[in-house]
Amino acid sequence: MVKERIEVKKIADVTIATCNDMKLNDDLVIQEWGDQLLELLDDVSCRKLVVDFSKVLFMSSSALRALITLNKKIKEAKSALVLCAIDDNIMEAFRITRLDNVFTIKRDQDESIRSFQ
Amino acid sequence: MSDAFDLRQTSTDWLWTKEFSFDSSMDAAHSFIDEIMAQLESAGWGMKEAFAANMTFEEALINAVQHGNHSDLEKQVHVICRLNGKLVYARIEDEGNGFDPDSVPDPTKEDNLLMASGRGVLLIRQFTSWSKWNDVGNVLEFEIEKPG
Repeated sequence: MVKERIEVKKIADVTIATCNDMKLNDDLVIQEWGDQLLELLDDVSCRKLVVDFSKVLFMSSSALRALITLNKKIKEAKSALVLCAIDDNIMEAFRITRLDNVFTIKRDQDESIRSFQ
Repeated sequence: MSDAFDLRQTSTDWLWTKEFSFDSSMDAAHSFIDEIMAQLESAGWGMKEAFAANMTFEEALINAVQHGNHSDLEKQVHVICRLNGKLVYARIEDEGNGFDPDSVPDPTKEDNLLMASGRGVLLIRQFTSWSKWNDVGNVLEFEIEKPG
């Protein structure tokens, strides 16, 4: 049985996916996590997606790659993606790779929701 | 293990050292990383302070297992690791053909930002205090100093 890698809730028209894993580095975990995020886009009402990383303390470049794939699919679906609650150390990896310029990154869920307005 | 170049000896006051080889699987690599993280904690590194080490070992072992040895279980990864309360040193060798780390396209260039791969080398260079590949490109040595 596939483990639930994200916890999903809806606030108005915003879908919020909170990552359940503390570490996003194992290939299988990243595959399942990426697939479960992509599946959210199958729902036509999911046009504003927030991915909350508040539980995540480590992620590898493989997880960054999965996020780039998600970002591409989001754009194809004409949807919007916001990442939030990223740990300072992980944020450093975003800065080093300049992915902080690719993604919209907010402090928390509230700020993310407000950014869609 | 080849003697491509000598072990760097910044510190001789090591609290923990390990030299071993493992089959080319990320499960084995992650078990090793978990062991290092536990040893760093014993040596007084907090979880936040050990992040750079975690990131570097993760990316270095992805390179060795997946890109160097192509996850071929007939091939092994050879590791020497030494650490204390201030410093971690590692030498990681794979049995692949090597590569030129300077030939990896810069993933921070505008045209490359969305590339699927190529971030590992950059992350290793940025999260270590010192790093060096041998001429063949199948041996990586690095050091990470404890922050602060």
